[in-house]
Amino acid sequence: MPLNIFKELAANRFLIWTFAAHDFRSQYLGSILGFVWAMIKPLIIAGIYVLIFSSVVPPENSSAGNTSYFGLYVFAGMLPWFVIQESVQRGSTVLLDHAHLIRNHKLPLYILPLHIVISATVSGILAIIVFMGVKIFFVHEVGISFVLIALILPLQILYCWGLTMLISTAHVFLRDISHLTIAMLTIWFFASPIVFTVESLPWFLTMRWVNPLVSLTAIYRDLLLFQRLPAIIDITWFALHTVVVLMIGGIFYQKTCREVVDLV
Amino acid sequence: MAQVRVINIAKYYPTYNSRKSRLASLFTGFDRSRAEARNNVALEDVSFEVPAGQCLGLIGRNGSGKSTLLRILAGIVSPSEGRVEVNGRISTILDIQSGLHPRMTGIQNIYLKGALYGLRKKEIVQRLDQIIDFSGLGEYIEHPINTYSTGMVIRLGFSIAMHMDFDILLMDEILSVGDIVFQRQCLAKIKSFLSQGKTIILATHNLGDVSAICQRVIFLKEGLVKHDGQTEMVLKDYWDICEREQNKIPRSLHPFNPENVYGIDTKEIKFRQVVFADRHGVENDTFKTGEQMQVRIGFHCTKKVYNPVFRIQFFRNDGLWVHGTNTSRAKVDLGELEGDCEILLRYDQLNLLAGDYYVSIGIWPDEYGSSFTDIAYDCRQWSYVVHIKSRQEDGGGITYNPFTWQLLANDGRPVRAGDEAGQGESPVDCV
Repeated sequence: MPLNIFKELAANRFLIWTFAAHDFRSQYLGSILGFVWAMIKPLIIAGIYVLIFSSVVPPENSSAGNTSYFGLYVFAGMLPWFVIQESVQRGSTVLLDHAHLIRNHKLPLYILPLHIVISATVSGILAIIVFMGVKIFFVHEVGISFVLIALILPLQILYCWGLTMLISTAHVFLRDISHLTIAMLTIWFFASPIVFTVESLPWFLTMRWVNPLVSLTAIYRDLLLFQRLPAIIDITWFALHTVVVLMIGGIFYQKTCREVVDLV
Repeated sequence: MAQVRVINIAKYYPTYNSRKSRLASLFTGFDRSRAEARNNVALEDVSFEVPAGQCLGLIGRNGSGKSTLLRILAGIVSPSEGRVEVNGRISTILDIQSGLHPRMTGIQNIYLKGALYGLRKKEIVQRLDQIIDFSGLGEYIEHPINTYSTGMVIRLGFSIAMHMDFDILLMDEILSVGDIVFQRQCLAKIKSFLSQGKTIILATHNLGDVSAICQRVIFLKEGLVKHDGQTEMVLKDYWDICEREQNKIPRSLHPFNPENVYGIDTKEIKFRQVVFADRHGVENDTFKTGEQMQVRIGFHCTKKVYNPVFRIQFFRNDGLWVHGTNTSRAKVDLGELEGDCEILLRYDQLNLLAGDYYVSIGIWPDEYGSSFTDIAYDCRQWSYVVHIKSRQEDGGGITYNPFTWQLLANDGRPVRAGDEAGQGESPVDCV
C-alpha cells in the first residue's frame, strides 16, 4: 500500500505542484514586495521572540551563549515550527474551503492538505535562506552541513501531510476541530524547545517520544547552526513520528474520504 | 454497446445533524446514521443505459436529483446503493467557475483547470493556443480573471472544458449561463461532438436546448425516473406537470403596473372589466383550437381621449411571447372616446395549441396624439389565463396551421387522383 501512495503522488505530481504553486503565489499576489514577505515575516516573528526571551530568560550557561547566538538559536528552532504551524492552521479547514471544487471535480482529496503543506514548505525554505543570511552576518561562517536539510524536508512534508490529512478530514465531520487545533498549536509551541534552550529545561529530552519538535528542532539546529551532523536518535524519533502520523492520517483519510463529498 | 450503465442506484444524503454519528459509524461499523439518512433521498432506484453517441437530456424541477445523478456518473459522489459502469473517459462541466482562481490570470487558470481535468503540463501547452482562441479573450488572457465580466469567465471555463479528451461529456446547466450568442456557440460545439460520436449527458431547464440536441430525455421527479424516452414525449409530459403545478400558484390581478415607470399616474382611462367569451358571447376561459374567441374590454374614460391604443399579448408560462396585436397596428381608428366604453376583439379562429396562455392587456395613448407614449393609461400584465385544448390531429408545438398531408408518389402502386389524405386523417406528427 505505501508504494501505491508514492505511485499516485508521482502520477498526480503536476496537479499537486500546480495547486501548491497557485496557493503560494496567491498569498502574495498584488502586494508590492510579493514573496519577499515570506522572508520578512519569519524575521520579524523570530526577532520579537528573541527580544522577549533574551530579557526574560537569561541565556547564560547554555549552548546559546550570547544574545546574538541565542537569537540564531531561537530562529533555527522556529524554522520547522513555521512550516508545521502554517500547514496545520491553513490545512485544518482546507477541505471545507475547497468544498465547491470537491463537489464539482473528481480529484483525489488528499492533494488538498498536501498542497498546503508544500506551499508552506516553500515559505519554510525561504525562511531557511533568510536564516543563513542572518547567520553569515553575525557569525561569518556557513559550513556545508546545511545542504543536508534537503534530506529532512521530504520527511517533514510527509509528517505535516499526515497531520493535516487527519485534522482536515476530522474537521469535515466535527466543525470544532479547527478551533481546537488553533488552541493546541499555542500549547505545542510552548511545550517545545523553540524559545527555550534544551539545556535550561532538560525535561524536553524525556518528551521526545510524544513531541516530534524536540527532535526536529535539534536536527535543524545541528545542521544549520552548529554545523554538525544530527544525532541518530533525533532522526530516528522524527522518522518514527512521521511513519505513525502518516499511517494514522492515511487510514483515517481512507475510511472517511468517500463521505467527505457528501458533507462538505 | 452501452457506454454508461446505471444499475439501480440510490443516493441518500446524511442529515445535517447526523454528521457526528456518521464519523463514529465509519469506525464502529454501526450503521444507525445510514438508516437516519434515508430521510434525505436524492435518488432512488434509477436505472438506465446510454449507448455510445447518444445525447441524453436530464430534466426535472429543482431538487429532483439531476445534479446528484451527474456527480455520481462523474465518480465524484458515490451512490448509496447500486452501481455505475462507465466505458470511456469522462469530462465534466458541472460548474464552470469552480477551480478557477479569481486573482490569477487567464493563462494561469488554464493550467490550474487543465491540471484539475487530469492533464499533464505538456498536454496543456499543446492546447493552450486553441483554448485561448476559442475563448475569444485575446489580450485579456494575461489579466487576472476577477477583472473579467461574468460572460468572459464563462467563456474561459467553457473553452478549457471543451478542449479536454473525453468520450463522455457531463454538463449541468451550462447552456443557460451565457448570453444568447454564446449559447448558440456552445450548441454548435456540442453538435460537433455528437457528430464525432461522443456521448453527452446534460441536465438543463432550457427545454429548447433539450429539444434541439437530445434524442432522448429522462425526466426525474423527486429522485425517481418519471419518464424515460423519446424527447418530444418526455418534454410534453414534463410540460403538462409544470403547468399543473404553476396553476397552483396564486396570482394577483395586478402583479405590477408598468404605467408608473415615470411616477406619473394618468387617470384618463381605467379598465372596468375584461371578459373572455366563446362565439355565443358566453364567458369562458377554456377554448378549443380553431374555435372563436371573443375578448370584451370594458373601460371608463374620465375625460375625452382621442384614439387610445388597445394591446393584447399572449404568453406561454415560460415567458415566450406567443401572439400579440394592437389597434394601432391593425389600423383601427377609435376616434374620440368618453365615459363608459367597451371594445370587442374577436378571433374567428384561435390557432393556439393545447396549453395555458397568460394574457396581458393594456391601453396606451395614441402614438402621435400624446407626449407620453410609453406610459400606459392602464395595463394588466399576465392577469388572465386562457386554457386551450386541442385534438391530437391538430399537431404539436404552440400554433395550429391548417394543413394537409398528401402522398405524391409511391413506387408500389400508382397514386390515384383524389387520393389525398384529408386534414387530420393522416398520421400527423402528434405530440
